[in-house]
Amino acid sequence: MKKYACKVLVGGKASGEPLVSTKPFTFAHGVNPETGLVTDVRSDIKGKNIKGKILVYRYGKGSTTASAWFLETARLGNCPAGIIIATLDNGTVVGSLLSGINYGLKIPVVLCTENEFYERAALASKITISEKGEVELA
Amino acid sequence: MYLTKEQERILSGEEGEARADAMELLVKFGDAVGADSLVPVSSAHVLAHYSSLHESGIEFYERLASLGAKFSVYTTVDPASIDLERWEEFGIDKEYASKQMRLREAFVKMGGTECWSCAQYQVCNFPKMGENLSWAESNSVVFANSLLGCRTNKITFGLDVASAILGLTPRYGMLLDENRTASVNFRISFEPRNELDYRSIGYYIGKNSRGRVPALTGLPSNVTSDDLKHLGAAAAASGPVTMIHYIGFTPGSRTLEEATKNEKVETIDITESEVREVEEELNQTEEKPQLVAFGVPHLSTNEIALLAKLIEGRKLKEGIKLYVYTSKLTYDMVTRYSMKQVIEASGARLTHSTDAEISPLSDMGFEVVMTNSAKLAEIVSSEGEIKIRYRPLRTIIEEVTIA
Repeated sequence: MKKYACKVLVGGKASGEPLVSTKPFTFAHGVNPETGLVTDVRSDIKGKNIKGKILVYRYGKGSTTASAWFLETARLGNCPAGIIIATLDNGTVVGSLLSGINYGLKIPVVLCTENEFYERAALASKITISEKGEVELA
Repeated sequence: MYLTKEQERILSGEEGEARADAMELLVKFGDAVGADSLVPVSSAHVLAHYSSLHESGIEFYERLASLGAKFSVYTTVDPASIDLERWEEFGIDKEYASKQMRLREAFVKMGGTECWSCAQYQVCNFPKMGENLSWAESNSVVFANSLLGCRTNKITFGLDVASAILGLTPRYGMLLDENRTASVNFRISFEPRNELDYRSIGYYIGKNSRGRVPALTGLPSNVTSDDLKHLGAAAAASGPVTMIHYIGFTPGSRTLEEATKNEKVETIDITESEVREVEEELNQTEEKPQLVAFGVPHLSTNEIALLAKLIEGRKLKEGIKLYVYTSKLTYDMVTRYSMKQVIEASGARLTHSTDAEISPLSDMGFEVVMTNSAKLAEIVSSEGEIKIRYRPLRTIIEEVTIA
């Protein structure tokens, strides 16, 4: 079991199966809020479902509406359990904060800058995020 | 993040639930991005279109409006998902329209100014140099930072409304001097032939700036503010660009040395071949279009006048629709001066307060869309449902109309 100390962007704890994308990711026109399926034709996880997973990606992209798409996905119960990113992604941070304020949901978002983590995450069967931003791979 | 006594009071709920929620969002976001404080903005530009906001966006707006929230600074709004007056004529169904109208009502209730435009800086929102803004529309963010001498980050939905309510924004990113210095130089090494070349240049910058702040050298002195509007829009659509130092035009960047603060930076040449590559990438088909779309971002009076001149006396071919997207103010003006009548005599339609990239284009039955907008081309093609033909204005008019 390997642990990584990450920066908490939105607090909370979560655990689940990892879903790792190496391409830029966005909720805006990229996830179907009604199903949780990734629809972006340029994504390497197109067709995969984000619901309940620990979503791992390095870079965000796209429109300032990403937080609205995130919020709708959260309202319909199809959001990931937690999210790990390598660079700040405002859409995801604000989307998670809005989900907390409007629907009482806690979807932690942490920033992990260690390259090695992203290589190992793809091979892990479970990822756990703690309140303090400690990320554990199993 | 440092909060003033007054900001602490708002956060603790002393000015009501809506302002407390707005403050909570600004503070938590500010902490996440490492902002040191909240600073006043002189205006806000927010998103309120149903196609992106969905049901939860309506709930978000209506909850704040019903709690009595009011915008505390001048607030304009990005285009709606439908023509707010003539939506039925454009084949929009009643239920869809009613969702957009609920967003409109909540926006108005909070004191927003109904200037639904993505080129608000050309019609209804005129900051002065040096002001901090909270603008949520990527092309207008580039325009404000690059040409108006203002400072704004690209504000995400939710944060935009919270900022408008409180008149504050977290101090980070493009509000800080150190993040505004040019760190890569794109050099135009050919003579742009038409408006499309400027848009393709913008698209190329977006794809190749990789998070750096670009400078652009070699712009001819006759480049227009409309050209730069579309260039910036294309750059912001294809990459994480929020400012371009247009050397010779951007306030404080008369020379490359000024823009880079005398640091040596990489130079990337843009020749005719780079621009042709962009055209090939964005032009996905040679099929006949069902829709020709002009105005992503919204056309100015100038651009509509040029279109009227080109299309006067010509008729749109059978089976093709041509929509011209603009703001209500511009629409009223070009109606008053008969440009609208000239354009519509060809069979084309002017539509206002909405825009192509946030309209339900596939529900409206369009599969092939022809445009000279690199921004529209980029956004629409990522969903894979609509194919784009990307061509310059004059070529399009010649192809889709007859004398």
